[in-house]
Amino acid sequence: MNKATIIEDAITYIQELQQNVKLLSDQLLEMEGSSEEAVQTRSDDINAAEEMKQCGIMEDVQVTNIDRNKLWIKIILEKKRGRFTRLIEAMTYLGLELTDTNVATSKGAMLVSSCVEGSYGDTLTVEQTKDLLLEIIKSI
Amino acid sequence: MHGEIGCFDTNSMVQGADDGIGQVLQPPPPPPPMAGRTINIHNGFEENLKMSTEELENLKLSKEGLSYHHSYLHHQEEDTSAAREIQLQNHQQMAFNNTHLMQDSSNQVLAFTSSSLADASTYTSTADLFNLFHLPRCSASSLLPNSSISFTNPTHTTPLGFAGDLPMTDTASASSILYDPLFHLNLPPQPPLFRELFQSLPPHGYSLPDSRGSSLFAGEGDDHVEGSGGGGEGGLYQDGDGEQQFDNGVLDFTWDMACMGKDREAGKMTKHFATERQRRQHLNDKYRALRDLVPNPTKSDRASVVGDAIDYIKELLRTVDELKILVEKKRCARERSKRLKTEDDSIGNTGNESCSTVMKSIGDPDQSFNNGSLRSSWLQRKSKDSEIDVRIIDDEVTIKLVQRKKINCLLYVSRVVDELKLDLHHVAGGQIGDYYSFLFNTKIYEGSSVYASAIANKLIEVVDRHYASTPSTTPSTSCY
Repeated sequence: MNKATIIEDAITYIQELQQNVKLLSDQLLEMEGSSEEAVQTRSDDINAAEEMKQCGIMEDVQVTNIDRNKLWIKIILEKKRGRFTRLIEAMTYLGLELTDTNVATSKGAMLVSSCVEGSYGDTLTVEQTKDLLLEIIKSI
Repeated sequence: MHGEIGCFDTNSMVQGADDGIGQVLQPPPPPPPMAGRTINIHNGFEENLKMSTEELENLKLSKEGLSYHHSYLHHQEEDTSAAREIQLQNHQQMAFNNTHLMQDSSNQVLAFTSSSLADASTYTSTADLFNLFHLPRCSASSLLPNSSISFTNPTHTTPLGFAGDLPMTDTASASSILYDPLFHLNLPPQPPLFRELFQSLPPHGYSLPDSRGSSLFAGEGDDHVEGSGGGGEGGLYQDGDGEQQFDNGVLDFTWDMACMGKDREAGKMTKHFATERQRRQHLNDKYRALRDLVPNPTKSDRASVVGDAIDYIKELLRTVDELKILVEKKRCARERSKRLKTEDDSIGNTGNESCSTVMKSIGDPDQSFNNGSLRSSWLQRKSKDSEIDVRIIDDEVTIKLVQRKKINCLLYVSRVVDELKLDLHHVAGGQIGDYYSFLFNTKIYEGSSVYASAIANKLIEVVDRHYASTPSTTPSTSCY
């Protein structure tokens, strides 16, 4: 086997594998759409709420000022499908930019702790931010 | 030793004693009877020998030379005398070898690099010498432009299929070229003429699979010889991929040939690369094609291309496995749901049996088919500003994302994650220097059949799209 044939073989093999992948993924797509998923999601949410209640975790928001422009927030909320996304969406919309984020989930609750800065350069006060966040959580 | 391609050890020959000449002059021992032709050859050789001995007075022949057909080493640097001496040897040896060749299977090709010895590749008017030989059908099955000649049994058409078809008379001139040693005996090098002669060869019915020139190494044209002749650029022996494969050390001196013919660009080949340059270009094109197949090409040097190709092939194999598992899983789940729905129907689906038995054994339909093997997958995708790493083990997906700071990708990524029906379990990330870096630990919701490449592709597409669409300073709040 010389270099040229090895390269040719590699090209052929890669193309063949790519075709295989395409075939299989099309097949998979075809088989998509079973009705079982919808049932699952709802049950997940229900479970989460129940777990939280069991552990006594309450939804909570905490905001502190760690720098002139930076705030540190801690949010505990009930984990629901897509809730985190909505949270981020709302925060971004309102001009809060998350700099360093940490999200952990446990027992149906989600803990979000993050550094927040004002997206538009304005300084945020603790009180304002806290109120804002509480609003957000209620609405999502 | 007969069947092997003979190479001369010129050094050994050079040292020979004077009696070597005498040896040369003596009639070679009668070869095993194959055909009377060999005797003719011998006679012819003898004639020629006698003629040329005068010019070869300073030849030193060693006994080893006679028993050559061994490695014909590089000898360009040999002085012409040595070259001639070897040529003489060649003549004799050719005779010998013919018989030997006849005995052997045809695959062996004898190539004499006699001409290589003589830097003076003299081709011209050796025709007259040849005419003396009356060499019947001693057509070189393969011939190097400057020097190597392979002799095959004149009596039987070689599979090497070369000039065996040539009647001697018609191709006296051509064959004269073939018999390089003879050429060199008297003549100064004349490459152009040689080239012309070569170009004239095809009409003579050479059945070379390749065109003339280097492909004159007849024989199995199947194998390719990688750049035979190394640095040589003569198109004659620098067949591209169509090079013949030579057994036994022909390669050794083909390299010599190449060097010899470096400045001789032979005529264009019809089928194979005429020049070393074309061969190189073709190879480069292949490397480029390989690079284009790979999704994340990094550098474009050959080693990186090959390395990326290796990684990509491994990734594709993983993806194929993953998809197979998913398809199987889907099918089992479907079967199961169908079965549940049609429980009254005793006939059921044929696929049920396999699924159900497996399911019974483990009890969890979604894991049943795995049978102990975890679904696992891993791939990376890179684009200009972002890098995505997706790893899947069983139902947990870990996504790492590094993105040049411009937009807050956290939002987009979490949107995508939701779309892909992944359950966010843990997110960590933030700004590091110029980049955003995030790590998402997610779980696949049951019933969803996402697979790694889908995740990666979608993510990088989304990220790139937003990256491209946002101006540099303002954060993006657009929804998509």
